[in-house]
Amino acid sequence: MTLTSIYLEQKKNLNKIEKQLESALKATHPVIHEAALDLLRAGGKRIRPLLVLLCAQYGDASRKAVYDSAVTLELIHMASLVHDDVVDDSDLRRGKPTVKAQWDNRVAMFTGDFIFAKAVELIAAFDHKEAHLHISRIIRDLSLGEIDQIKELYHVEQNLRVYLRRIKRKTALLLALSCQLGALSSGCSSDIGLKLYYFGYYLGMSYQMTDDILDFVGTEEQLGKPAGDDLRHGNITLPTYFAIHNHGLSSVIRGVLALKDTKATQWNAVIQSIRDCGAIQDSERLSGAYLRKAIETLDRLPKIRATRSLKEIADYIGKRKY
Amino acid sequence: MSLNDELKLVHDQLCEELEHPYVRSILPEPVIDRDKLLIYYVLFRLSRFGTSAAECTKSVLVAEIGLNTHRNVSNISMEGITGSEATKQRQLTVLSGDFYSALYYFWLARQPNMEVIKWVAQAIQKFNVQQCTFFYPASHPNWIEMIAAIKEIESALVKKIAEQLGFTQMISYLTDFLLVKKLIFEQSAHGHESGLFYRVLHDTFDHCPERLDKTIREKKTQLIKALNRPEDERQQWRPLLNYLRNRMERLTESAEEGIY
Repeated sequence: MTLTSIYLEQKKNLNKIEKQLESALKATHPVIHEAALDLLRAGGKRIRPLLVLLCAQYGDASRKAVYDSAVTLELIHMASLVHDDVVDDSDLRRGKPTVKAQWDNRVAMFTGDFIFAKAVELIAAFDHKEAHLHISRIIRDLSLGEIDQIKELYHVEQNLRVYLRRIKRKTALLLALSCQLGALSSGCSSDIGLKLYYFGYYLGMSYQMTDDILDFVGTEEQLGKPAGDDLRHGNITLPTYFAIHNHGLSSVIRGVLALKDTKATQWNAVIQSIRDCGAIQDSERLSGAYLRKAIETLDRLPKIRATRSLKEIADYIGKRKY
Repeated sequence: MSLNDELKLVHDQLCEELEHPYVRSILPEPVIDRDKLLIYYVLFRLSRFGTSAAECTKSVLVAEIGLNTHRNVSNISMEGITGSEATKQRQLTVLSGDFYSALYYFWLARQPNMEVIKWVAQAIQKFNVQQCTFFYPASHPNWIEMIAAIKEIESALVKKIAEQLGFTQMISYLTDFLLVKKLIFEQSAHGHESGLFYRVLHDTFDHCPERLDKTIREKKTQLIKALNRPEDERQQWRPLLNYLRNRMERLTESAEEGIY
């Protein structure tokens, strides 16, 4: 079983979700309508809907609530991307103009709020108190995590716990929720839902760490931005953390961040030092540890086809190069 | 406990729950509209909806605060402020708005009747569509359409809640009141960040100050006339209607004295 075969196996269901997304994004004003549809057309891996669909196989995957959950999570993700582009002042996403670049910040705000409200309206129909407690807490924590990220910019001395909490909120929680909601919406027990939550959580932590590693080791062509982009924006991610705390690069990194007009050659030198010092290997080890926890969680789940698919996704995350 | 004490309690709880030390170190405190607080509280209390009027009121208000916060995002960048502090302000305006928007769902999900979640979510969609109608009109808009769009934006959530609770007879009073209040505010605040609607009107129409003044006077006269009409079936609403009338008088006086 490969990742491609998993996508192929779920193609029919994912197409159904794509149609539901298109329908959900219909708005009576042409600007919001166009902006929202452009986002949809920009595509994406649809990893959250895929996780919902796979985790729903532990129960009755044909339920309407399963599809509604998948659509809701993708809408929440899309809404956050539109707003993130305003936060980061980004003009391109996946090689296409962002909503804020195509129109302006205000349209991006209106569109994001519209999509988020659509997501909440859709999931509100799901009659499951426990699920709403989880979803609403996670959505609140996602926004708190984004605020924390701004707060922690340029804080060279932040500890590992701060980084882990940030990536938990930034990435892991929504993947954890995708898995848990897949289970709950298909009628699974809370126990199965919780195990899948932890699978998604560990997977998401590892996924984000891999992203942070690739930000240093990837090429500009692969990344669509210069290597070390996070550090250039003052964002202390895992490789930088290890470079500072395990490999004596604290003063070098502190120095480059303190400069007002850092030259490209200075950035490149620091980024190369982080690549070479062993921080990447330290980061890979930690990412691998989270991935193993994810796979161990699968051992405590029923041995069905979906379990193998989830294992395959975990393996892909461990091996991905961009 | 008197109604005023109850409202103060809701207000103080809301202030406390919106507190975020880091956000507050960069951005001003979010504005809590006390008129809307009273309106929502009275609507929910009279409805015997089965869910705490205080929790519902706080939730709907926080959703509005989130939307209003987001509306200011472009405003800041349009002012041409540059530098890292401006960047941080823009970033936190977006993110604090997201945080406030998340809170309404978070609070309402913890109530026994979660129906209000759907109402608020639907009203927010309408709110944003109407904002686009105002800021990005499809064709050259006329004055009446623009004023109507402001009214829809300003009262999108109040109207939805009143409708869903079955208080349709109250909608015109509430929406007219909120429109006149907003227009007075925009007229008084023009030139400042919060007079965003005024600036659009000013850029679109000739003789904007005179037209706005005329509209405010007409709408206010119509509203006061309607609020004074004695109708038996409005007995339970009399305190709220009296409040709206007195408040409207005070707002107008304050605006005339330039202290709104």
